[in-house]
Amino acid sequence: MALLELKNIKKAFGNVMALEGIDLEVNKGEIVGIVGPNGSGKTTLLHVISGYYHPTEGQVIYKGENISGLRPDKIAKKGIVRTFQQNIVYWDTVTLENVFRACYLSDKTNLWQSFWGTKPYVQEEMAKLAKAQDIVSTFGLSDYSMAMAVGLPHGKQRTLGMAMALAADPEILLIDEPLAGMDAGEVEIVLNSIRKIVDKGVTIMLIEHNIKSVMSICSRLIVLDFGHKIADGKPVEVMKRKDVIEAYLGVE
Amino acid sequence: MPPAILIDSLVLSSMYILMALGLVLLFSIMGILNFAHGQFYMLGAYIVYYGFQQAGINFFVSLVAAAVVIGLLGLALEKYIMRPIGQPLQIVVVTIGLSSVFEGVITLIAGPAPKSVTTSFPGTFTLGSVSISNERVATVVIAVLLIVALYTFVQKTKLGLALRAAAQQPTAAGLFGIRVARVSSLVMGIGCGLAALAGGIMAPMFYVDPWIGATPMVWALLAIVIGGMGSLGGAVVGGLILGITGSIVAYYIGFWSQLLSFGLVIAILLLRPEGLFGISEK
Amino acid sequence: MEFAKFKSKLPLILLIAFIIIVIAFPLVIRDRFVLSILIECGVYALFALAFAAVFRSGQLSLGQAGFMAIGGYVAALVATKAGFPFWLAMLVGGLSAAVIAFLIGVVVLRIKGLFYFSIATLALGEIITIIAKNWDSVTSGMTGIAVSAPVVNIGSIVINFATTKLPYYYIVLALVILFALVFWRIDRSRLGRIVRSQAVAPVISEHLGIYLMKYKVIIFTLAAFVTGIAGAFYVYYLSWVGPPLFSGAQSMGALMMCVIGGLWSPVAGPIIGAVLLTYLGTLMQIHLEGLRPLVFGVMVILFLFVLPNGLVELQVKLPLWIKGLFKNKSAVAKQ
Repeated sequence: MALLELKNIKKAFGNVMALEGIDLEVNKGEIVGIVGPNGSGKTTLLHVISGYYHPTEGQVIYKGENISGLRPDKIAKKGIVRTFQQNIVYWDTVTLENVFRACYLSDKTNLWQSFWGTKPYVQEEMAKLAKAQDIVSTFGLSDYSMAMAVGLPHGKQRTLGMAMALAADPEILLIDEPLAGMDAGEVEIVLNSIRKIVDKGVTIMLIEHNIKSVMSICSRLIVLDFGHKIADGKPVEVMKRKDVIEAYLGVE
Repeated sequence: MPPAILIDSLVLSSMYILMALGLVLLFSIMGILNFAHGQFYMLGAYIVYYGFQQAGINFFVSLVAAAVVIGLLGLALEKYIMRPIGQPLQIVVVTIGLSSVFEGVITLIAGPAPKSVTTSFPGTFTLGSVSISNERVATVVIAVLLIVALYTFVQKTKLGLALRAAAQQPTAAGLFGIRVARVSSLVMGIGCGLAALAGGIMAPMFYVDPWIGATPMVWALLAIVIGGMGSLGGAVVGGLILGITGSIVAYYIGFWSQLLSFGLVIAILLLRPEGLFGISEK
Repeated sequence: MEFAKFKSKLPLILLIAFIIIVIAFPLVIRDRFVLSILIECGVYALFALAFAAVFRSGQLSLGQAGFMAIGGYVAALVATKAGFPFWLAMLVGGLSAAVIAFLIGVVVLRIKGLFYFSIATLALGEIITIIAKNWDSVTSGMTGIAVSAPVVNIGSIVINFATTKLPYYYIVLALVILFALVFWRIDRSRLGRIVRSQAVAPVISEHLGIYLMKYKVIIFTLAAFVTGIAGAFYVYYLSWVGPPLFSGAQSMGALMMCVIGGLWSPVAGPIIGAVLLTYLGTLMQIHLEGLRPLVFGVMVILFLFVLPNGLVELQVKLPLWIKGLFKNKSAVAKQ
């Protein structure tokens, strides 16, 4: 059974159809790339899967369960976590605490215990702190762990967004343009981080414009154009197709 | 139910509608809630008091003066205080601070004692067996004229079109050459001017003191929640509904009608939070 | 690491010293006027603490004074009509406010966007004032309800609150310390962190699994409880409750206290702001009416430009400013 299934997903905004009947399957362990020209509906697709938007029609089925239209936090609890294109971080605090706050789903002790500072609570918090530090170093952000998150250079901030998403223990991680605005060195770091995440057993769907990187890391490629899925298969084959090349005409 | 109550409901509605229109313009185009809006009402009333009552200037001229002065004041505030601050939450706090400043300034200048403004439309006229106060009728007529004028401006002029475009899609509007900053200033000016006009028009009917802006402010807010926070038409409908509950319903059940109004707002928030004419976000 | 002090205790010595000073203060300084101002400071400190807690959860409660009114009226009613003792009346007052807050909160806190909650609470405050003014059968309208000063018997000691204001001072002091500790501890604990996450970045918090309504409702209800108790206490202190006591202006006042004292601090900011503004405000109000709203309004606006995090930020900013001054001077001197 596929881990995630999209059945005839449509999303309309007034009269504009952002997504026109998308059918899609994602299996565990895959790294699925989603590409397409601007405005083809890639981010909208992510919004629908993660619960930010409700689909106008169609169903999102996760592990056999229909999750379309659920609240984002419920979807996150089930295991689907995402990052945002306009990178949002907790601007009032440092990098490490950002990841620490993102470990929310690891909380087991209740509020009452946390108020009195009981032993199980403290132990849990220490464990979370260790986990946060671990994730921070996985993404190469250790040097910045005490720096204000909002002051981080662009590339590092986007990496932080991914680190936070990972802290929420996802089964499927949806990443929206992880490589935007990064130089070659940063791209390598991010791609390696993604490989490490996959090694931990997380399935990945990522939106990207950087076709070279997408080809190097994705096991499967989906191409969207004007809200339609026009291709779905192995990256090398997909990129050779005439209609895909045409959709990208003029775009690098 | 005496027909005077019907007129009263129109008067009350007029006040709410004028205030709500100003407020909703600001919110839909600039995304901020101006908690000093009620104070512009109060300042408009004082300008009419000083101009018309004390200095003997023609009532309508005083009204226009109030609108212009307060409109310009609002414009200046938007440009020099609200825009530099930037974030919506802090802008709201700033408007609360401004509200306090206005209260203080007026209390120092005019004193806390209430003042009264004599009406320009004394007497009543009779319609069959019913006698209606001229004052109230004049108030409603003036208000309706203003609302129609605003409607014409927004729907029929180029500037009004720019306004509506900026309200719906600020970024797109910018791409089309509409200077959103200019539009913000204009909107602020119009909104504050409307509040001042409301205050000036209502001044002869009630008294004038530094705190008369508080209640219109609250009801204007409730009106735009009912109508939908991005909708001008909604503001009119919301104002009408509250005006009716505030007078006609109040005639039958007294002050509990206020609770009813509040309950109505809560019901809207529960069932259709975007308001009667608003757009759902998801 | 600052945020990782899960079990930290306040610097105990500082706290004890502070408590000793504050306890001894009225015994040393026997000015009744100063005492009465300090008691008012205490009431507003409680109010500001509660307001700040709600604010830090991301919501602006512009009708918070309404909860003071509920607490005050309910306490007055159970005291005069049902003969409840002082402490019980205060407790019932606080609980009533909490119940109303819970009901309102469950409806309004679920809606996204800052404004709906602010408008709803503003309207709530206004409605409560209208009911207080008009529901003559219960609230006696503008006349209000007179509450007799409590007489407390502890063993063989009789404390008659009518003769001296001193017990009021100690009670409000105890309440302030108690709830300051409660709010401080909440802020340090998980609840504080969660509501802060939501206040700062609601969208990503939601996508990380944090659904905030439950937590915001808890904070709002607790804040209303504290505010209700403050209101009940205030009514006993004044021996009277009536509509003019609790107005929308006071909710705005609480906001101003928090802005000036410091919004990002859960305890220090609100208390400092409350004491400062109540003290200054009373002095100004006595001398020249209208001066207080003007000065406070100007202060709030100035602070938003210069010290957006309030006076509490001074401890960080002041050294920087002073250093800046010296840097400029030495640069000029070198020329």
